Amino acid sequence: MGFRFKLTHLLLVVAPFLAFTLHVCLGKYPLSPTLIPVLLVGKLFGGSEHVAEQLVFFNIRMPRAVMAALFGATMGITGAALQSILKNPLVSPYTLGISSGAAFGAALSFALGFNFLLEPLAFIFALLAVILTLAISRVRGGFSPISLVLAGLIVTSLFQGILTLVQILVEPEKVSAIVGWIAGRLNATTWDQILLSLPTALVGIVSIALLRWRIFVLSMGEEARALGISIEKERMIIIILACLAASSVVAAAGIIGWVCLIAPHLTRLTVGSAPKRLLPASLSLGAAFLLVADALAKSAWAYEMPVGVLVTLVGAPLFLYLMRSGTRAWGG
Amino acid sequence: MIIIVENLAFHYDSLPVLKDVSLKITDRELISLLGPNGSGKTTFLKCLCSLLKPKIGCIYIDGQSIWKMKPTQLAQQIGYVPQIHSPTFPYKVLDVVVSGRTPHLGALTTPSEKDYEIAYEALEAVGCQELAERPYTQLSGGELRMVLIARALAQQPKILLLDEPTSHLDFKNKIIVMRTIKDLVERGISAIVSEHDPNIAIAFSNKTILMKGGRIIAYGKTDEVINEETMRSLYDMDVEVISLANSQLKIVVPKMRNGHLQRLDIRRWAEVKDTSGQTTKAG
Repeated sequence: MGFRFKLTHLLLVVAPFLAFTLHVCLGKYPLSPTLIPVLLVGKLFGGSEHVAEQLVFFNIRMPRAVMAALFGATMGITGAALQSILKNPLVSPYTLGISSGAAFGAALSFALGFNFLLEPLAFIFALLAVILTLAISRVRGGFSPISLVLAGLIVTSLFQGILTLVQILVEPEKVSAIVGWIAGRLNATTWDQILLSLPTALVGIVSIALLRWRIFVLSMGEEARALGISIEKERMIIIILACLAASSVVAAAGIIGWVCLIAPHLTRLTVGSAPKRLLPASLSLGAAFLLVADALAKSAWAYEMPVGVLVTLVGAPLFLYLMRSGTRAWGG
Repeated sequence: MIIIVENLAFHYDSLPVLKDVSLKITDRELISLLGPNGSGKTTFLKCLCSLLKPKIGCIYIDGQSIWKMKPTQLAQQIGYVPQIHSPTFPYKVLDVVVSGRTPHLGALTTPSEKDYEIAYEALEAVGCQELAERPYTQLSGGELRMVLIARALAQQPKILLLDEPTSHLDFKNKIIVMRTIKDLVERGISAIVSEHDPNIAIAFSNKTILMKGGRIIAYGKTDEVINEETMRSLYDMDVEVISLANSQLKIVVPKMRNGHLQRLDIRRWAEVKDTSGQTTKAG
């Protein structure tokens, strides 16, 4: 038990790094993992003979891999946190409408030509969407698991509907930008985009990680009040932090669903729901999962597949499997 | 420590549940709270630990209003064991118990070794230390009840509120749960226990509150409060209080005629429901 336990921990730490290495090495122009240290040294001290490789590695591979890791990590930890505080294993930024709210906000900033408002608008509409979901599903001061999922579905399709409307109304040259971005892709990631989303995503992630004990106690439900927690206030703080983190990565990469649902469930199955481990482990598995998925998306076929499509194709059956085999982990 | 409740009234939407409740609770008492379904017992306990906030009335602990206390501060004084707890995630029993330490932790801290020790001792106090590593989704009803009591103990409160701790338990487990609570009271805390069985109240508690239609109709020493007359008015049913031959214990039984139970008028049930309101929410 002790050995297996430590091995799991080690794997959780190592997995994202392995996936990251895999991700940067694969592509149209495969790089050998042994070349990575050479390239890093070359970048630091200059005078490398691998000019082409250096260009590919630092301007194309690295930003894309960093974005995939950041997106996966953010969705993993926010998904796990939201599931805990709402006592519901079926919620995530995606199913609560946060992702589509953020996507709408981002598309709106494109459509209006206010690119500098990308992040704030994504955040505002993400928050608006989740508040709407919670308001619709509220029954007697609590949230019934089913109504929460249904309300999320309603709000998601509402925002997707308005998003389509935006696409119809804007100038044709902006449409292709919006459409390409909605599909959820990481291939055009630049360092600028990362610099834009990283700070806000990190603020959300780190705060959620620091609040992990409160998040665990909130998952006890109403009695958390009797344990000294101001339920409404603290739950709202976590939701705002989750919106902040999730909307900033959605603003950069579009909607990539399923990661936020699969990572926490994979975690519950492998390391369990232990309050101190769930959130860090979901973060790690979320990053590893999306890195592997995106590595496949860009290299497994002759053409590039949007990772959002691949994740859905892999995610739906995988989630079905987890759901079938994992009733133990869900407490069912 | 003294708790004073003054003119408490509570309503869900427009439906009144508690009306003008006043009482005073002092140290080291085991108080039973008896009343028919829907009489407001659960609502009253939830008000005491501020899970619900009434519109009218005040609750003071040692002279301080509980609405003015921080949630953490209140949770250090009052522990609450809910009637129903439906586990969502398969947490380890010890983790569930250690969540009782939350009011003693800072906002960003996680429990220390010391907190885990206290939690383990709380599990020992209810005799469930062997459950520590089990997922709490796999416990039986009686075990889960004990674990929730342990969680409230880990909180180290001065007063423990237990909402029907004996419901759904078998004959023996009821006694075990009540015996455990009595032991805890003897060690220096107070407990208010809502209960459906007057005989449990007689056997274990020094004081009893009778609650009907959201009002307290009697409060005092258990053997003075529970008698044929009060039980009849509490439950709208004729009862007999019988003293057992070789003990001081009394038992309450429905009134017999010619060795048979009396037929109860079923229509009375509907009437009781109408006057006392919510039968599902307020147990």
